[in-house]
Amino acid sequence: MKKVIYSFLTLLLIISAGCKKDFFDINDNPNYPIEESLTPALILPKVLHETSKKMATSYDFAASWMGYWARSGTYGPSNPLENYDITSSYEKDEWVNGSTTVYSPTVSWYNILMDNSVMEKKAQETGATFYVGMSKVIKSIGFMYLVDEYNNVPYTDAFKGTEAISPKYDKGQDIYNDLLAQLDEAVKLFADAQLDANPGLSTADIMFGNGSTSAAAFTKQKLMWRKLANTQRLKLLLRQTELYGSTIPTAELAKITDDGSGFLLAGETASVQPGYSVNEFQQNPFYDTYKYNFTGDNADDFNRANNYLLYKYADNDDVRYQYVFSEAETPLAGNIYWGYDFGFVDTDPDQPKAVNSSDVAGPGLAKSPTQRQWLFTSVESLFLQAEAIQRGWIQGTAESAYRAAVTESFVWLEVENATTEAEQYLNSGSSIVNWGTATDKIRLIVMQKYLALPGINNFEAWVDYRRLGVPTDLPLSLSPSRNGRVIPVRLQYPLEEFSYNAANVAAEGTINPQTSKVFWDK
Amino acid sequence: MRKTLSSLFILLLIAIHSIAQERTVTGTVTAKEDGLPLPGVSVKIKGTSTGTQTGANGNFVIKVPANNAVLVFTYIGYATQELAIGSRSAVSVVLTSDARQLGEVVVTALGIERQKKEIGYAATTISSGTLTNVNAVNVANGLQGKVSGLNVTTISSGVNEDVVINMRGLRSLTGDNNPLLVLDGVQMELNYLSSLNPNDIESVSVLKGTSSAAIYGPGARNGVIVVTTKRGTADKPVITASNSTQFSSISFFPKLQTQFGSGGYGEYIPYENWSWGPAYDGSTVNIGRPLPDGSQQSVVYSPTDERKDFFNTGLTLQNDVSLSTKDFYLSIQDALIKGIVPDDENRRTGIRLNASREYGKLKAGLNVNYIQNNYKVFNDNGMEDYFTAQGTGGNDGLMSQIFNTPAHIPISKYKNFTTDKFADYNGYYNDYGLNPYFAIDNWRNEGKRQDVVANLDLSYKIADWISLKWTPSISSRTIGERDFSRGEVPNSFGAGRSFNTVPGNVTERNNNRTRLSSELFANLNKTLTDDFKITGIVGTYVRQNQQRITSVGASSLVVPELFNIGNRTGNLNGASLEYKNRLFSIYGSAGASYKGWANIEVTGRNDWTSLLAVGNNSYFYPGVSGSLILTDAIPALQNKKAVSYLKLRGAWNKTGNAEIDEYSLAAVYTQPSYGGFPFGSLPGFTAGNTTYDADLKPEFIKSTEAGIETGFLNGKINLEATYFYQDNTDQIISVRVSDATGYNFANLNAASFTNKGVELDLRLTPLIKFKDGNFQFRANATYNDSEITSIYPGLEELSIGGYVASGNYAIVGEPAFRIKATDYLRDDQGRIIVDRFSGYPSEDPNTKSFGRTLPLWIVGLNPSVNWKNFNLSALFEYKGGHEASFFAMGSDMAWTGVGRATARNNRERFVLPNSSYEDPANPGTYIANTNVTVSNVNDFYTGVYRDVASNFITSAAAWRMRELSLSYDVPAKFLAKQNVVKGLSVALTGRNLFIWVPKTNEYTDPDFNSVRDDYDNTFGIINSQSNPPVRMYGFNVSARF
Repeated sequence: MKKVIYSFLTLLLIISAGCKKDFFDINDNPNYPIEESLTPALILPKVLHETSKKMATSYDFAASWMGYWARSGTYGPSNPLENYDITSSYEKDEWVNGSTTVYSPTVSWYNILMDNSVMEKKAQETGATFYVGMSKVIKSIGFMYLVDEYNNVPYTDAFKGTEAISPKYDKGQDIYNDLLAQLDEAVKLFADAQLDANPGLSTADIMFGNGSTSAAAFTKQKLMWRKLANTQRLKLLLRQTELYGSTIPTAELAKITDDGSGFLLAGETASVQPGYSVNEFQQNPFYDTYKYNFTGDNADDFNRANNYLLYKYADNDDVRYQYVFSEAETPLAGNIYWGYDFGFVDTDPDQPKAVNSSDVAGPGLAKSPTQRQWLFTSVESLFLQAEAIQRGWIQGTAESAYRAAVTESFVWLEVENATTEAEQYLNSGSSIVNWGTATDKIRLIVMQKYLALPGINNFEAWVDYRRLGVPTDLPLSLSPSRNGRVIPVRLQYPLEEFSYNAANVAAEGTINPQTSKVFWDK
Repeated sequence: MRKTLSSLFILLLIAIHSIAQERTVTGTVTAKEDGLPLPGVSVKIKGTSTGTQTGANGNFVIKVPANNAVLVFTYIGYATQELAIGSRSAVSVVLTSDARQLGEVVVTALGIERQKKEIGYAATTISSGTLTNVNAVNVANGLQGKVSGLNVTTISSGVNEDVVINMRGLRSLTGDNNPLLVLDGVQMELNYLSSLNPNDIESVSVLKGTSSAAIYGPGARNGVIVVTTKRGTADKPVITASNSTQFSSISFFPKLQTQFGSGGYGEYIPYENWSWGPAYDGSTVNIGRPLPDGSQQSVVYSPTDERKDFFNTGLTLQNDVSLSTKDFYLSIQDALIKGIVPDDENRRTGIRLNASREYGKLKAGLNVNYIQNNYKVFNDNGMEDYFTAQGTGGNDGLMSQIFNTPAHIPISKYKNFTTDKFADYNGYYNDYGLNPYFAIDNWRNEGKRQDVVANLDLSYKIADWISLKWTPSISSRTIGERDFSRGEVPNSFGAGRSFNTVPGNVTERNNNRTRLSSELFANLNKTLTDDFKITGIVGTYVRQNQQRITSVGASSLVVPELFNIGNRTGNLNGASLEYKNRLFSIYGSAGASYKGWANIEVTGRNDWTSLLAVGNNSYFYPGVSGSLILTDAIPALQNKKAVSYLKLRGAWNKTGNAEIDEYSLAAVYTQPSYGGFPFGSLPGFTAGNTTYDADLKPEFIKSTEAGIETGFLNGKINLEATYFYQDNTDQIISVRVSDATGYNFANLNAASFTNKGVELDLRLTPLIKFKDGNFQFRANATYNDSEITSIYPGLEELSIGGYVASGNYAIVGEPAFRIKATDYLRDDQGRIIVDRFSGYPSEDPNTKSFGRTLPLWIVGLNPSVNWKNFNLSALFEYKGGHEASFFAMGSDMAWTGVGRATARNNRERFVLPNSSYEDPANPGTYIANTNVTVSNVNDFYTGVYRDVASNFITSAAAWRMRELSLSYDVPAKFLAKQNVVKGLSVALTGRNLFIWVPKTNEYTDPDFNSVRDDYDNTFGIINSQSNPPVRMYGFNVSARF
């Protein structure tokens, strides 16, 4: 009896000894870091890689609508891509993360910008001002895309977690204005940044850092980020040309001039290189999405050359079709370059398939699985500058800026004898390219911008089409279920917002992607 | 062989059997009502735990001490009887059925057996015979339809039937709703039920309310399933061997159209998987492309049953041997399950040893169970990943590959994909899908799951009225499994058809979880006066859960079919994760009973958990329950035949819990493999999807229940009814939030809801008596409803999971849960708005609310007939009042044109019923549509129709024949001539033989749920990864030696 009572007491003792505080202090996550243990340098590479990946691989729909690409004969009709009947689930991964349970979920802008905002917060806490500046540039890019697709979106309430569980929407115009203000701050932060205050910068900055911590390297890095920021400022302003009309946004332009670093010039493409390699999930994103995957298989059997663009090149003796499109793997009847009419439903069982047609990752674009991934090309920058000069917004000679931009396109694509080819093309007299005979120089510049950016920046074509209606002869989808719809002017808010942020999305009223334009689309 | 076996048993017996001065008594037990023998009656020698059970013919043999022994006969539903043997060597005993259920004993908290009449809350006991009536491999399936308040849902078919158990609805919107499993006094995770050998089980007690939470802690808020395994009672060793053989075949196949074959827009295309071709006409057509050697298949252009023929007849074989003797039970079981999907197989092998011994006041016992599950199944997720990587939608799920095969394709002829040129990867007829035989061979999941459960059981009787019990236990589950893809490289012909390489890859996973627990309590039971009795429990419980998950994979193997991660190019991917949590509790209860008819009990418990921050991690919760037996208490009601038993009971309690995942107090950052990082030495982190509240508090549930138990006509009719009401507040939920918050989910204290219902149990035993037999009838019914009262400031609804276009939602003012889904744009009269020219409707961007996903009513009916040694028993179950969404499955069928709906109007243009179009003269008003037809039926079904999820939502109501069995006990006289076999019974059994669903359900079993792995609390979201439901039928032979 005593024995039992003693052993019972001993047991109680053991148990109560176990109940000291540290008995329960085992809830620190042993598997993943939490915010406390992160530094900006641990986040930046992911942000830069995902931003450039998104810009390069997320706009197939724009490429299709804009006459760049079309569905191959291997696939059946694809709606709403081809009938323009935009639903709330269409392209929702611009806003909403893909399900993480699938093989390779898409990453949304809000996801990228969330990481970017954490980076900014961490950088601000530690006085790492260069990182703060970079986060502001990325923010101006990401939110520009969201506004260009949805107009009003959550901005001031975004990324507040449980503090703003139902984030309200801001006006597209207000967001643009703030993005410009962010960029003003960013260039100042870059200018004043000290290397010591920004640890890990030379390797974490996979865009303009080169691994060297020398003062010279840092100076170059600062300069390039300022050029990128300035070019992005110009891009945001040019988006609004139809709002400004003949008014020149002098004050905003003066800020760019005051910075003094200028824009991205020929050969100064902003691109990232985290160390792309032939591994699953580690190839260059453009190459991995449209050319070959890591096993060496065709990555994309859906997107193929659109006859509209193919003939725009070929009919005007423009060799660039051989650089933005590929030769058919198995040509039929000698048709080495073969494209499709967008939206056409072909019931002929022997119609050319993916292997018989031209893929959209031509040798000028998909050069290697380990190439750098462009984010802001010199080509686009030169066209932006040409348009700004022509509008009298910035100093310069419009014609030479235009010729430089077209030439840069040939050079960028590594066209054989690029400058000679470009020269010949520019001088060909064809109305599609001839400066002298063009009555509307702005439309000429933008049309050439259109011809310079297929695959490089598909989204810009959709922006310029909505802004200026270029190209003017762009055919509509041949889909039998199009029913009079035209190219959408925006995306519908994602279903998730209707479900999880219902009151705020409802406050935006009824959205019709056929008619509800974004603020700069007049 | 038998000789060696029995000598082995003899050896075992020598070790445990002490021989004393004894003599043998034989006897028969019969029932007073019908004079029939009663099998399974417990016969014990009073004052000891020595005893036996009566056999099939009511006979028993027992060794008694030489001096005056008293035998105690107990049997559920009958009055316990004591009999002094004197010097007799043969006795016959007649038991009287106990109208008042005085004898009914329920195993309650901590394994304490209590008289049912004393209990203030609802509890039901199921005997082993009822549980294993039709030889369900999974114990959970054996519970289906048998207990009111219990919703046992089989959510998939296949070799591992996944089963979800909910008791009295839900306690948590996004968290855990699994009842607690208590196995031989040890708290276990519910999923261990599927590893248990049903034949090892002595009884299952279902404690429905939250009342036992005070004793069992937070896990018991969802009810408790108390499983007690067998331990021997008979002095003489009894060896039981049984075999159960069951076959399974499809009980419900989706309704598919059989009018149109492959092609698009009415044109025949020989290599299409779209069934949008011309109507079947019996002509001879080519299928597939001509092979490089010029050969091409041709078939008759007519529909066939080939899609059904793809499936095999499944087989479930269970072999059991057990040995039991006094305080000793040893068993081995081997269950082999071959599924209807070719090559799917699971084999469960388990052994159990239960042994105990008494040393005066000390009793020491050990229960050990080891189970191995070896499974080899098709890995649907692997195939889905492949299709996702290919960028082809609509190909998810094996069933999708099969359903979406046009009806004239001889699919079952493509088994030999390695040798048949028309079946191999390159030559298969279809340009857009895979030969399903190739798919099931290529993507495999093979693994071994091992469970070890062991516990000591030490008890010490300090005095007559107080005893101590200590149950330390360890349970461990180890899963080692491998997902792999064999891989396939197309030849030039395949490449010319745009076929890509199927990568060879492998992922190895090891999951090791261990639970250590210790339960120590003192049990007081003191009779103060003749009228007054008090009981009490004081105890403490401590538990640690630990889990380690390691996975490593190679996405590109070099040498084919060599599944070593060393055989690869590129990087390895994987993770090694560890989780640990601890819980410590102190609890107690005090009860008083006056004359046995007035009983009251108060309980209280305090928990400390490691899962919440210090300061929030200690919480207390009390409870009270009571019962009153009016037929004893009120003299006027005593000894009345019409109303022979009347008991009222009631209980109120509060339960606290914080059963959340470890480390749920701070957001994390990760480097997911699909993000590419790290690139060499360059890391890149991204924020996780969930934000957490660091100050999370425990959630509380207040439950009230009241019940009445009645017996009429001397207990021939028993009716039991319970009303329950639960108020769930401060729920720890995971709120799906706008992506603009930076997260997908916010984990916080929010949401409140109420849950209420009524449970009814009716027993008519016997309903009718006739010569040598009787007819019995049992029925149970549950009505359960709930209402969400709040979610979070600014949030009126909460996504529970499923598809965004069709998922489960909690909506304020509505029951848990509603399906919210996409629908057509409709006018103010509810008519579908169509385009005035094209006749096409469009999708409303706002999702709409549809039916509830949990059944409102569940009914179980159990008639049975006994005649001589035959027993015929059936079990029907009904669930109704709810809806299910077959969106993903139906959408696939609409896309490929195999769904029955797609053949509407022979695919001629038609006017969409109940539609209208906008009046061009008066925008905003709508004119009924009587003449605008959809311009193209093909485009309509493959377009907006398939996006609108409301097209695929139907009633989930179903009647099922869950069980049907005909058993026969071979009479003792047939066995009398030999003394090897002492008992023999045979049975024909059937499980889930029939399912009756409304006509609108053209898809599959509405109880299925294909997304539960990702969304725990969803119901009725079904895609093409779910195999068709099966019926099982076979026989069972059991012999005692």
